This record gives sequence, structure tokens and C-alpha cells, in this order.
Amino acid sequence: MPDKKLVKMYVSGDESALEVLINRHRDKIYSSVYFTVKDAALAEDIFQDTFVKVIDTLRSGRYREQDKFLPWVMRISYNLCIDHFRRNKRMPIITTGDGYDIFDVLGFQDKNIEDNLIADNTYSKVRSLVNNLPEEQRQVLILRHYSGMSFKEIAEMTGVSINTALGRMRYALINIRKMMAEKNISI
Amino acid sequence: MVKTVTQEQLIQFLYQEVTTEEATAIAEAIRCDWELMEQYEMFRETMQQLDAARVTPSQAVVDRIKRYSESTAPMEHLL
Repeated sequence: MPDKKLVKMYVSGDESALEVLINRHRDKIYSSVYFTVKDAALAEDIFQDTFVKVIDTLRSGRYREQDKFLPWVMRISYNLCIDHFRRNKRMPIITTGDGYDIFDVLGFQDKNIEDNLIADNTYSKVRSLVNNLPEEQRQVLILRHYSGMSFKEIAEMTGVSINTALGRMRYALINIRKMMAEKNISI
Repeated sequence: MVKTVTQEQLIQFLYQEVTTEEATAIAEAIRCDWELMEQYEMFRETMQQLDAARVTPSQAVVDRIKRYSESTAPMEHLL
């Protein structure tokens, strides 16, 4: 069943429709938040706050039906991540032409890639590789691979052309591959 | 004639963001060009490795969201 129909059902009072929407998109939304804040408890808080906002907005009638559900929810979660970093003043705030983008302002590169790469689980290894990508590449990779957004949606959200988004993804995949070879990592 | 395929198109193909016609042409080009096949395999394997880092939220947080939704449902939906 399409998201659009589930949204309508939920607004009409069908609570089970919300559960379907959450279960359908939970991993995508949570993965992107987790990669951003790098803390499981905080990621869960932001994930929860995201859906509280989703629920409140749907019920208030402020959701525009022309918006696609997942990109809309992703924008909410990104803004909540930004709010968190602003509150904690952990990162400098840099605005872009049409607003702000969390991935532009975060800039967290792991200080010591070696330390992270010796972690004994697959997740840590992959996360280290992703976190050591240049920010623009990391952003596209997270949005495409973990959040499931299309290159068109990523282009619209980040204010670049589809070709630029694709080019960044290409470099991201090539660099991941290169880092794996350099660090002799096999997964 | 075999289509010339860029790496960006390969990535779109792997993420299933091409039309059926484009997919057919790209698949044919991959079959005919070993170098392109190597690039395709490289991207495909890397994407598979990225899958290892997918994470999921706890059921507890999902339950809390559902409880919030139920507790704030408009009165008319409860009747």
C-alpha cells in the first residue's frame, strides 16, 4: 500500500497505518540519524521526536499531500539533528544559500581512523569508512544508501544537480573501496 | 549497437533508478564489456559491504511512538 494512502488512513483515525509507516521506514530514518549523531540513545530520542512531529503535523492538517512521505520525514529528522547540535554548541553553524544542511555543518571526521578500524565488529569498520569520507560524499552516500532517497530527491534537498549528486556518490563508493584496500579490510 | 555507459549510469542502474529500456541497454553493455563488468562488480560489492552498517531502532522506541499517537488521538477517533 502506498505511503500516501497510509497517511490518509492514519489521519482518518486508523492507528495501524502509522505502525506500517514506521516499520516501513524505521531503518532508513534511524540509520541516517545514527550516522549523524553517532550515539544510539540520542539517535533514538531524535527518531522518537521526529515521529512525534510527524504525528502532530499530520493531525493538524499541515502536511501537504504533494510531499513525498519519506523525504518529508527525513527533513524533519535532519532539522532535529541540527537543533541538537545548535543546543549543544558542538558544531559551528554555517548557513547555505537556501538554508542549512546538517552535513555541511557537522564535519565530524574521526580523529584516528586507525583506532576505529581495529574495532572488532563489521559495523564499526563500515561506519569508520563512511565517517572518513569528505562531507559532501558522506552526505550523498547516507541519503542514498541508508535513507533510500533517490538522486533526484537528494539533489532537491541539498540544492545541487542530479549529476553532482551522482558524481559525489561515485567518488564515495570509489573512496570506500580504496580505504578498504589500503587498510586491508574485508567484510 | 552497444550503449556507452558511464559510472554514474552504472550507479543509477544498481539503485534501480533507470527506465526499463535503459536497464536493458545497460545490462547488455555490461555483458559485452569486461571492463564495464569489473566496474559494475566493484560498485555492487561496495554497496553490499555498506549494508553491513545498517542499524535499526529498538522496539521500545517504536512502542513509545505508538503510545504517544494513541494517547493524543482526537476524541472523535476514539468513539
